[in-house]
Amino acid sequence: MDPNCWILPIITFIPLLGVLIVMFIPKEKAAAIKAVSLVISLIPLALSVWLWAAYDRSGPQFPNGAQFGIKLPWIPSLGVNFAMGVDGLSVPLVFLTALLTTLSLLYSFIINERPKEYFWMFLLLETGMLGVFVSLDFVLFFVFWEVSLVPMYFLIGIWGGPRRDYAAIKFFLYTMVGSMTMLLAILAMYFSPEVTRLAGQHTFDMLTIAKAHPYASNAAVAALVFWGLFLGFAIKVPMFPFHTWLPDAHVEAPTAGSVILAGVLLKMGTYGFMRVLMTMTPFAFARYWWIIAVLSLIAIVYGALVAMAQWDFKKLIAYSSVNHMGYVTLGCAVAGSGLLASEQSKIIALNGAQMQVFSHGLLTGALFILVGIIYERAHTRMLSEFGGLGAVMPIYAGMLSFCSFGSLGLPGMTGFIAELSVLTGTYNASPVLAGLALIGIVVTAAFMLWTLQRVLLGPINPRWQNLPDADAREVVSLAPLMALTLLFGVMPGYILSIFNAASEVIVGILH
Amino acid sequence: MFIGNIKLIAPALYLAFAAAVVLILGVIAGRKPDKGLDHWLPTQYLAPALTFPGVVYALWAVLKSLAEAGETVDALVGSELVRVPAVALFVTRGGHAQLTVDPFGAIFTLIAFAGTLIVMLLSLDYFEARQPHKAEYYSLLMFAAAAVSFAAVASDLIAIYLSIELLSLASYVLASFVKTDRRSGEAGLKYFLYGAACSAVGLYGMSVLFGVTGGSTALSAIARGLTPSAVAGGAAWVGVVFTLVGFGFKLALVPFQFWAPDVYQGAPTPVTAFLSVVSKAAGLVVLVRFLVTAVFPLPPEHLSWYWILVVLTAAAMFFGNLVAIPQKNIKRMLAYSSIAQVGYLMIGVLSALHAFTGEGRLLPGLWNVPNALVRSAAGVVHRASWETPWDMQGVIVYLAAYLFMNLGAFAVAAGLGRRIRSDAIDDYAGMIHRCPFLAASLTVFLISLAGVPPTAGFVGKLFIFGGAIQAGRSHPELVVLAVLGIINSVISAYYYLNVVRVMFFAPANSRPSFKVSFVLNLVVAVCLVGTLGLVFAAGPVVDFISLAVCSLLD
Repeated sequence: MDPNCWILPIITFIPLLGVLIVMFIPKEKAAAIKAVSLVISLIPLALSVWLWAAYDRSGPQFPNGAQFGIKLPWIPSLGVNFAMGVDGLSVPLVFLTALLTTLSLLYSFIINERPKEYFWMFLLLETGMLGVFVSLDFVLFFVFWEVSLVPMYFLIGIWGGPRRDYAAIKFFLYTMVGSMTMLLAILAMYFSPEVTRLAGQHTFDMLTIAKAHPYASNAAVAALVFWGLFLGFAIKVPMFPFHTWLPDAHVEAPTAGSVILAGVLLKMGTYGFMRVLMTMTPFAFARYWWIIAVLSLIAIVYGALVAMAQWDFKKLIAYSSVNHMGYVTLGCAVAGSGLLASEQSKIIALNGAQMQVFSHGLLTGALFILVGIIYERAHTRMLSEFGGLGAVMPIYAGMLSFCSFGSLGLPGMTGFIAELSVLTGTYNASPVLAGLALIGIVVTAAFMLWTLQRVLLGPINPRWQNLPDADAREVVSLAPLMALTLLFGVMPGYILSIFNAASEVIVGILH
Repeated sequence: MFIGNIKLIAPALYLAFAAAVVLILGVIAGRKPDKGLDHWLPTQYLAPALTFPGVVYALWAVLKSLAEAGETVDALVGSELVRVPAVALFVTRGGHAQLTVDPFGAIFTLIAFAGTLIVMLLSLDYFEARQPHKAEYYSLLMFAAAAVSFAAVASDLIAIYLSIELLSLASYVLASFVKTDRRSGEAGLKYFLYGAACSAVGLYGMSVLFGVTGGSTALSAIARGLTPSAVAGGAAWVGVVFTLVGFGFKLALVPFQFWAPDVYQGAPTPVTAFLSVVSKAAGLVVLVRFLVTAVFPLPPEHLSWYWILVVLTAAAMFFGNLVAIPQKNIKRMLAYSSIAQVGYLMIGVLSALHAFTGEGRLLPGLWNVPNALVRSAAGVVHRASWETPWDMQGVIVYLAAYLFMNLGAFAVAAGLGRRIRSDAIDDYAGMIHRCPFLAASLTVFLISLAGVPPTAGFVGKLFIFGGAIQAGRSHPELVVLAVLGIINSVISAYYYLNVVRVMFFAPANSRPSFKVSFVLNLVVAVCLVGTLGLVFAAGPVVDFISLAVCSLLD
């Protein structure tokens, strides 16, 4: 066994240990709770940096294998194992999760209502999210998938906005519909003759299932499995038309909850696309890729248009997420599309999708924090009430401009690389599709600039004359996100080579 | 009469004896309350103390029957020497056993005893020491548990009927135990009237079966008599369906569920917990044994009952879950939820049954097998294929999960209900501030009932749906049931989480917080450990149960 095999369980379960520690701190000691939680969240962050550094780019990629793999028997008679491992797809996501959790906890120091529960639920959430990205066994994967659901339900429901009850239950039920169909599809793959033939017994091992291509010879069942999995991931992404939970959840969630929701939870859906859907049901994916592509296109254009129509700043960012995630699913659809496009262009599309995942996590996380900062001060998010803040809050204005430009895809930042790659790949498969997707980019640029104008420029509303500028804690929460956006925007090759290794294997399945 | 293995029903015999001891001592002590015997041996402590060895005993019986499963012994029946399985008891002529202590039944005994013990501890908190007639109360609980244990091993219509009636009689009295509460009296009466009617219908069905299958009450004999030609007559059909009515009542299977909400709401909460878990386990085990042993060896084209059960399963899930949504009373909501939970259990039963149908059997037609070789319980048929442990195990795993999560939910409802003097869900507002441990535990139990990981309910549902998907390759209706099952899981999450919402999100309106007794905390903690621990202990638990079901099968 790999001497480093314990690193993934340690990364995953350190936050859970933190949950227990925080539970034993008396709830009156709010400062101690906050400090301890933050320190604990730094451990997985540091380890994930180490993981990234120690990760071997030329090493095995899923489904050929995994790095830092660990496999212990859990329910042997059913073929359930405690199996973990990472590849180029998951290493950046593990880092992103740890980073966003730490920054969210730092930003959440302003939480004064029931801080103890808030912080331990956040740590529990981190365990769930990390677990999803490192699991290589479907039962384990599903457990973590659902574990991440419950704390978010409470985060929205207890610390959320005025319509929090509705948003919390809507979020929970929507996701549960998806995860339940996913569970049935997982069970169907488990019982598939192909898996049994390959493994000699039924197994939930994701590597084995991906190698076996369940129901490759039975198109009807494969289609059912594909749509079952698709629903689970598409609701999480969320793809049009399953996106309606997202604006509610985002708007009502506390700021840090929105950051995690947009930065990580949505990525669980796209991760499912790349990890499960494209590797385990590649033939069904190639048959139905155009449906995913069309839905993505609608998400891109419709999401951007709806975002433009919003006057609530937070809702605007929420709908821009629908738009941005559309590029991810479009990239996936193109990368999994039969033999329409060249292998090279499909790899580029998938690299772009992964880049967009990473970029959106950084930038939208930052944008939600920025919305939170202004909401904390002004107690309103209505764009119509702002204006001229650039003069009052120069640091804030700089950060907001930076992140908005990143979000609209300014060259030199990660968003540009991502969208360029996705569109390049898409063009090879279908120029019409790429052309229509461009509409979304134009509209995104329009509403982002218009938003900047409405918030920062123009005559100042006298009510905001004395708003304090962003303080050190807020700057520290945002700086790493902006730095990484710039770093990987200027030097995309470093991170793209990680994505590329994973993409080559996934695209190679069909070629 | 072959009674060599009577030690295998020792747990039930012991519990019946202990119940009598509790009753007699209680009556003696009751003459001089507050001093003398009751002071030194208070019934409310004596009863759980005497029940606990029953649980240990039941565990021993499981292991013992596991060890002996598959063995056969020679038994002299009248002047005839027959070979019977080592776990068969009271063998009649022809080699039919009236009781079959197989691991399957023994595990149900274990579940029933463990559930009863938890209910007793819960009663300790609920009634405290002031309870009148406590000797009668606890001894009735013990008699009921003994009845469940007999039902679990009964493989003869008379034995089944007697054990179910004993359970029912004890339950009627328990449901109406709080004489001063009108609702409790109403619950008892309703339960009795409904139960009597269903029991009569069931008994009628049994007598019809007795008649058309050649005059024997043993399930294995009925299996031989239920030939395709006998079924074609129609009388056998009536017999089976009417018998199922009797079992359906105990299970609160739709459409025999009408008593459940009123009884669950009116009965003292510990009794409700007992009815919803232990009593249902009895209904389930006799239903499974009846279907598996007597009915399902038939070729599949004669299994019209199967389709009735498929429809009822779907109806149970939808009825229970949809009607639970608008409920304002937690006990009533849990009543409807448990009606739906029976639906999930039935999915497991139905998918497991296909292992027992006539199709693809290795043995030639059952009715050609010599009498002495007819294994009395489920062992009558061999499986066509033995792939993975996804069949009857799922039912047992789900029932074990249900034991902990449902008893836990009722335990919290009982504890809170007594202290805030209300069972209304709205009065749970802000409970997380008033009583954090109970509120958090109830959240875990409800999330488990909804089937969300990492709880026991998820493990149960994984098995149930897994079994359905596996059987669904040749029986697509089970895939449909699994899909309906997941739809219902989502519906159920809505009303379960509504309670969580009230407890966590609603303000407490500055009502005072309170502490609860040690024993209530203990009960809740035990259920909590069971609910959260099953995921981690799933490996050994499943292996253990698989061993039981495997040995049951061939």
